[in-house]
Amino acid sequence: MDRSKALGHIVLVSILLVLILPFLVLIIWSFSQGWASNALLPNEFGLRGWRYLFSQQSRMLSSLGMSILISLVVTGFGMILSIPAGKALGLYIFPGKRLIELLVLAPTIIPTIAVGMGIQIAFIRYGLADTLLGVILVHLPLVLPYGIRIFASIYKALGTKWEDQAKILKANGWQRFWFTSLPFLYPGMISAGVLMFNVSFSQYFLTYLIGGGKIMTLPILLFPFVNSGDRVMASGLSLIFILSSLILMLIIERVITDSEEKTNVYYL
Amino acid sequence: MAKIRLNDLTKTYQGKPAIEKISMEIEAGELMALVGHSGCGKTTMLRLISGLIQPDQGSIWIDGLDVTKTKAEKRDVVMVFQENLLFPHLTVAENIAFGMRMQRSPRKKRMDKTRELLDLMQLPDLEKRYPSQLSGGQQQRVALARVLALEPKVLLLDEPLSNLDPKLRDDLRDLILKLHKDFKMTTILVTHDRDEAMMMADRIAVLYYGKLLQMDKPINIYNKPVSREVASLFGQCNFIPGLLKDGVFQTEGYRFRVPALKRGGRVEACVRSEHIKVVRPENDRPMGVITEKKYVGGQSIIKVAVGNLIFIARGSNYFDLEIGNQVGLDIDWTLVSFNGLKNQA
Amino acid sequence: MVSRDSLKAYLYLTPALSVILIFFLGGFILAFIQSLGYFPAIGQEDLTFKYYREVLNKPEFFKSLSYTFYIALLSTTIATVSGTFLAYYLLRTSVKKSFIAFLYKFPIAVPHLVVALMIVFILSQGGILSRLLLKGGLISDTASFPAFFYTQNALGIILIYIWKEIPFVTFMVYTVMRNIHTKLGEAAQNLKASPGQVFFHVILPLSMPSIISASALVFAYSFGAFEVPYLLGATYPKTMPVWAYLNFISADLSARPIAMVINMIVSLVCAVSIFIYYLSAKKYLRKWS
Repeated sequence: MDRSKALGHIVLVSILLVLILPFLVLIIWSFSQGWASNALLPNEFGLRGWRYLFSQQSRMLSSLGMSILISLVVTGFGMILSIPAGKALGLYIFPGKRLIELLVLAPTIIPTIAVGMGIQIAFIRYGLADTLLGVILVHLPLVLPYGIRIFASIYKALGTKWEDQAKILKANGWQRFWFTSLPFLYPGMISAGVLMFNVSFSQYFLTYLIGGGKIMTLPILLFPFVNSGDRVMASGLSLIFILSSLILMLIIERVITDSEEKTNVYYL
Repeated sequence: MAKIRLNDLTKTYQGKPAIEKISMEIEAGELMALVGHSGCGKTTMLRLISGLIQPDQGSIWIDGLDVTKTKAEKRDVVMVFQENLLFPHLTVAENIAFGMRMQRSPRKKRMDKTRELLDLMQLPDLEKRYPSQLSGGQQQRVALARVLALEPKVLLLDEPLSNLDPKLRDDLRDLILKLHKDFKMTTILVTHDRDEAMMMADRIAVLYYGKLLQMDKPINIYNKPVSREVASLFGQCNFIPGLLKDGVFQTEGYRFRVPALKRGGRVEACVRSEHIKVVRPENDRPMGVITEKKYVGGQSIIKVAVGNLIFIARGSNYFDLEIGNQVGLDIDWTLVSFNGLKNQA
Repeated sequence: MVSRDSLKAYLYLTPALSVILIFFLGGFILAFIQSLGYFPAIGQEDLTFKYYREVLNKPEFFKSLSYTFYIALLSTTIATVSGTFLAYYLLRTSVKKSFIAFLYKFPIAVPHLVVALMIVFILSQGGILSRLLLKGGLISDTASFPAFFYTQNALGIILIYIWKEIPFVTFMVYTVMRNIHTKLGEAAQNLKASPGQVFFHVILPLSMPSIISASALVFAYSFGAFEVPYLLGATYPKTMPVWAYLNFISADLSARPIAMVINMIVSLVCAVSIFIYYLSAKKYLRKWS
């Protein structure tokens, strides 16, 4: 008994170490200021890397802003598009449903390289290449499968009974959505929002191909650092990447959790 | 107060008829119970009358107006669902005021009405609670209050008592009857509980696989069921095939004098088990042997084999009878109904 | 006749489907057309399969295909097996729910690029691990530390993938296993099954559809991924997506159809992997229902 318990602790601790240790390495690197090639720890710590990151030249702040802008817009539109689509797939039976379910999954199956290389020529022709709009438009289909799948399962679990009840209480279409469906969707909106945001936030290839280097986001900025260049910069940039994504996840949860608590009891 | 008329209502689901050509009239202020086995179309009827679904054929009239095409949210009809479906994210007061809010009633009116209903429903001091903090009985009261707030002409109740324990059920049943009396709403109650229907309804409509079998006062449904199906829904019945002619019913070599009836020929007599008395064997009575004996509460159920027939009698003073005893049967023929035999019998 | 409900459903689906059809499948179809040699910019308008033949006959083709398969299959297998056991392990320990939530939420927030960077910092020849070994006297100089990157064994790439994918598989399988466990685990124990027997005879078979689904998604992702093998893969062979990209950016415009053909092959492999999942999940689900 004790031995299996000890073994259990070892497993859990090692999982945590595998998850956490790499970040420690990043943190140490980002504060280092000179690190001999065979030394275990830096000879000197300092803020040189961070100071540079927050300066104009590094383009970190503008890229971060651009990344957040793109991902928020994509998440917002993704939400607006996937709630009705999820409702259709969760509640209705109609001809061609299987095919549509498959089409909706396509963006998680077909790799983005094929789509990006194929569509670039059309984006150039219609003036969407190298534009913010173009980047948002190629991100959008990537996030939809996650939202649609989550909302479809919620609508399926809810059924039509709450809508019926609202109809009986004389609520019209919009009132029914706003006052009865939406509160039940909150928990799903959190998970969908977090997923969609992260899918868009970490997208490299399509942003690079369609944005053509004109649309600078964090992944684009970070990309060349992975196998060459200043490791201090790379570490700081990575930490900012993770932190901003974590903070936004927290914000999304905070914004929605208040109203969620009450529905929690009923949902599931 | 509203009179409801249903004309030839038909609704099919995926090719299978849920209800078929149902016509009935429900008087203004009446409380009608819809009774039947599960899947007989009771709930479909309510959903049609409420406007949540549209009939394939036929029409629905309320107070002389054809409302068949009117949407649920525009009909003067409300419904309380079996699961009370209180909005979990709204307080009791907000739930009760929901309908009025949807109709954009002034705030003052909403608050007054809500308070009034909270008192009426004996739900004091609960307005700020959330539904999950209420007991089952309280939840069902809020569900009722919520629809009454709309001052509907027609109230539909879908098994409103079925999820409650017996004591609460009695209380809420009395409350519903009181509300029905006070508000004079035309009320349709769906239930599978025959006692509930008997106790509450002015009239009972019996559905069987989507067809209306009988619609009548409870006492007539009980004593004069038009078919075997109706009879067995409301208590145990002995079905005895025989020949009816000139006030005499013949079966198994016995002849019984019965009240004169227009009907004649091959019939099936429906004799309720409590209308058969087990007595000492005497010559002009059917006689048989007791084959089985059970106690249910204060009553005994006695099975008696008479020739090829088995009679089931029910009564409260048969304790000294034993299996194997020779007994006679005394049947109260004034309370027996006769129905024409269908092919299967 | 189309019912009112169907019309409503189509109406609700139209916006999302249009976006997917135009901006995703549209791109795929354009790639397909270009793979047939349709490229008006250099005066090619005839449709032909000759680029497919050309790709299939290239000596790199088989090398690249098997290199990509090797990376995707190995990382998927490791991630699936360890994710499944980890899920069952977490299920049986009395770990706090918030801890489990952290285990899967945290890696979501870390993109592949950052994972790549972290693993490089640890496992490259100038990385932490090699320095540690050097300090401990286990290696004489950093050059004798085994190479994880830019090599044909692609171990670095595989490690990067499984760091991201084990949490993903664990979470997908964990949620399903938890439901099964609460429903049937006690019933099985009641029939005197040992924890191991419960796992192999009840929980594992019933979670199979979700395990297969998670691994199909993981496989499709790692087979079609571009960034990590582009940055850290061997000089030769290249993975299929990298090979496609190199042809795509080639100054020689006639290499474009080649890029598109490779894209089509990659897409086909991904689609087939999902299709196999679909078939096997259907097999399981049909047996049970």
